[in-house]
Amino acid sequence: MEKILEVNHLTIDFNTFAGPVHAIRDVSFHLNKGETLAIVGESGSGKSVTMRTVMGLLATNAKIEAGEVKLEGKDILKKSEKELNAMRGNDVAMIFQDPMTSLDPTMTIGKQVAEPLRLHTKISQKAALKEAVRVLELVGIHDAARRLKDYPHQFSGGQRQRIVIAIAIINHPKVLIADEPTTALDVTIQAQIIHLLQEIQHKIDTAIIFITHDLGVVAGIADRVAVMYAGKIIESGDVDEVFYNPQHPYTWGLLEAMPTLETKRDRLYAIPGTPPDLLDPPKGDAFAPRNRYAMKIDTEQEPPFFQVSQTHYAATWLLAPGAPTVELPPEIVRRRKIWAQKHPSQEAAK
Amino acid sequence: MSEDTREKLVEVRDLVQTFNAGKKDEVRAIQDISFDIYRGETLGLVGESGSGKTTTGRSIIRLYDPTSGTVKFEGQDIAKLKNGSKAMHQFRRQMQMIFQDPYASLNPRMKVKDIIAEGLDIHHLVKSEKERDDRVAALLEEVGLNPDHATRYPHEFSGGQRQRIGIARALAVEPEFIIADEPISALDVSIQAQVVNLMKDIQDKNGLTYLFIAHDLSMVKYISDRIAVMHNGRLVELASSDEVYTHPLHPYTQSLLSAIPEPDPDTERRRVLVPYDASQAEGDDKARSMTEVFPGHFIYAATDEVAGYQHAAQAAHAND
Amino acid sequence: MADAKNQSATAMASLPKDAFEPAQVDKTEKERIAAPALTFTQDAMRRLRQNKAAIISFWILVVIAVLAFGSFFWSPADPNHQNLTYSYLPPKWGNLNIPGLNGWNNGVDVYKANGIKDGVYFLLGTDGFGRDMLSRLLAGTRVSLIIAIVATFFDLSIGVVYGIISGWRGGRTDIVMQRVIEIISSVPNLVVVILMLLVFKPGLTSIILAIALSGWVTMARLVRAQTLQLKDQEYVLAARTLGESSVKIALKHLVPNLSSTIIIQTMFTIPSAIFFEAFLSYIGIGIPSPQASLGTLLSDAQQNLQTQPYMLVFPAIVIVLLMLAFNLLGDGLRDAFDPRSSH
Repeated sequence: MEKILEVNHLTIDFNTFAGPVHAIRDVSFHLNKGETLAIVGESGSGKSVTMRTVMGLLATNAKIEAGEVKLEGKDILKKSEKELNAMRGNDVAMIFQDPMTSLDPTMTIGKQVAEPLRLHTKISQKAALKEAVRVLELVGIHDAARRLKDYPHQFSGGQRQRIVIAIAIINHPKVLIADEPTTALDVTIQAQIIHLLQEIQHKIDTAIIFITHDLGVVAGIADRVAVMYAGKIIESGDVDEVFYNPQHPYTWGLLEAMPTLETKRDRLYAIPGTPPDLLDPPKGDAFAPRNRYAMKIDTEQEPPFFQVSQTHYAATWLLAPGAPTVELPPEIVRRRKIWAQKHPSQEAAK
Repeated sequence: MSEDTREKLVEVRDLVQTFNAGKKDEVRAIQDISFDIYRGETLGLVGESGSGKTTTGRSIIRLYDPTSGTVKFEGQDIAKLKNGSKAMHQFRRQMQMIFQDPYASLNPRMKVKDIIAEGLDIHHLVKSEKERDDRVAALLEEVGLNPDHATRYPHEFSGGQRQRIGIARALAVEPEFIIADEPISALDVSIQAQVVNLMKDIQDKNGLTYLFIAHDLSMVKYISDRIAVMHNGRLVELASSDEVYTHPLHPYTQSLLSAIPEPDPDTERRRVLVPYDASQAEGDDKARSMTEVFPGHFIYAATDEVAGYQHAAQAAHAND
Repeated sequence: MADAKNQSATAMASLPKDAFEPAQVDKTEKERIAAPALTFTQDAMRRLRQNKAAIISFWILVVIAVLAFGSFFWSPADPNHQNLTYSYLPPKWGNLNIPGLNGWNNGVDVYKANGIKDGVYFLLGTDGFGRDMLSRLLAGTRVSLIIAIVATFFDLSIGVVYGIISGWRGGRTDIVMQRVIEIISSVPNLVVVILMLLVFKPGLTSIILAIALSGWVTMARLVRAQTLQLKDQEYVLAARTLGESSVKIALKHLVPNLSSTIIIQTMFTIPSAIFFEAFLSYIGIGIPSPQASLGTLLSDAQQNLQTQPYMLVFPAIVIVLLMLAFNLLGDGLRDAFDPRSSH
């Protein structure tokens, strides 16, 4: 498969008065053409910072210590501000979390949707607006031609997020980054927006990076999933691998912490404690203090990536040869059973 | 289980809350709702933004003065208590609130220990500085925080930690009833379970009663005994939480349930959204009220719709 | 990811024997906070210290204030003492022969020409009545700083309280209080002062009264707007559900969170009040002669601008320094207390 975006060994520090905050610690991943990659992590895990780097939108106190971000083979980090401007909104577009603040309240939506087209191509205002109508219809704004002159406040929250999506896709970006696009929305609207993103991907053939803290949201839309914790990717694999055959105790914790309609338990498992302070990350595995399966080695040495399958990697010492087999939580046992049913031959080989 | 044997802690009757009444920008946030909360239970109140669920909580705790209707707490009508009166001061100890936004609910200029001790000071529950510090340390421990952090400021804590500080503040005055206004919706999924479990533990230990307000049904199920679904300022369905989950009757509840995302790729791929058309179930001019269509299961329905709901409920239970 | 296998292989080689035994993790490690504890004020002061212009401005103001108020106790001469033999002497700094400060004016050594004794010299020269300009400048600056203190006092006592009450009570109270503010601010300050002259003699009293009447209006408006926002904050709601009284809420929750607005607005009220006084004195309806104020000094100097330019230069420098320093310090405080506004 053709890789459209490749991030290699990205390391970013934020300079604060108290010292450098190690926000991104050696992150590598890639995005294939036309696929959806979900990056899952809690706040402070570095998922948004990574995406801002891809967009060339880092804060002034951020320092890229190492790594490269290659879009179609060219390193974004070496691009000038002018080249970045040509890239943003054209090759790479972003959908932000809050549709209330990502639209300009003083500008008609027709102009806002047509703006990226006017910025990046030599198209006439009339033709741009015509294209805007087409894209607005595509994202499900009915009667778009009549509503071009309306202002953002005349639309509901869900409709505004549709307009934000229209702005992002009007230039047919190769990579569409959706940064928690549904977190601020009601559940029913959230489901509609996710459905819309899926539809659009088929229609304009773009690759999507979907950032979220909620594993449930991405189960239906992602092709691959990368789980981030404390500035690192700790597990990545195909969607079925991560959901039905998870390897990292943090992924287990995330899956257990979510209610499903099928499992009936009185209590949910909650990962204890709080994510580590990246001003001074703990020695060894950053997850160790909250990990019920923590071993001595976890507190001393950072685990490397262990390969589970061609596409599936996890950074946990539990996968090291010689590591003890642990008793899995019931929810993970249930999920592994589904995995076994789906891949009977593999299980037999083991 | 016979409903009558349980003690009603909170009785809400015909509550109406209107803002800017009589003006051009009149908002009828709550339009005539009634429900009871039994002592020791958790009632989940679910609805999307603008449904009036937060207003309901704030009217009950008297952050707003209700336009009409009664709110009885332990038999006393608190909707008519005078602000600043002695009875009101008493009531402030018995009912507490946990807020939605962990970033806005703690005063950034106050130390954690002063935030938690605010209620202790107001109601003169401690006599000396040492007693105050000990009480704060005990409360911090109770919500799973390090008592050494008492002298730090809120901005140094993560969202989940801040929410626990907010819980400790509410617990400080030893209330009987806590309204939790979307306490988990601003938190990461991994932290949500922590807060829900903590609230359950505290409830078991202190025999608390909760009104748990949320915008989606998934977490509510784990903490609630009964669930009330709100839409457009009205209750549309009220039943035990299992009943709401397994046999939702109102089309709005069905739509809400169909939209809950699940961490399961197979279920997600099969998901079918149930659209909700408010004009059919609420919009026409028929007079509707909450009607019991199955024991303990109430639906907002017009008289000619009741039979249909009753039939659906019986059919659903027959399949159990 | 291609080198994952190699990476793990090298890591494995060096594993100690007990590597896979369960780890003992300290309970506090789960909730650890690494950053040092900083209060909001400490954090703001840290940012302020990084702003050189604001720090320099601060020290300039300190020096000016110390000199001006020090002149209460010690002044080179009585600022109002006339001695016509010393009339129109240019600045002279002892026997230091610095051009402009050596007693020469228009190519003449004025001290020699007037037969002034050796050892008598005026650092900033004298005016037509032979009054020491340095003493007059110190006295004038003192008036400006008194005005600054008065303006701050009314900003804090009337402006802040008015704003909080108006914003907190809301409803009808707010509407009435806002109309009152609109009426006050619709009358120009100059008209107020001129009307005062009908009742009072010109002088400090009428200027202070004018400031008391209308100087706090901007502060009241800002505080009200901010209070309206703060009163819907959940921590204020929490205090209400705990049964906290309005006065206590104002003191514990509103004022501390309003403090940055208050400090910053004060820094902008002060220079405008100082300028207001200087302007009134300059046009002759402020501080009356022979008392010194920056305005009267400038007005006197203006008549002799072509012959005795030094008389204008020094008061002008002081007023420019005051204006600039207060504004730069105000900017610095705003950036320090409200970091979002600077980006």
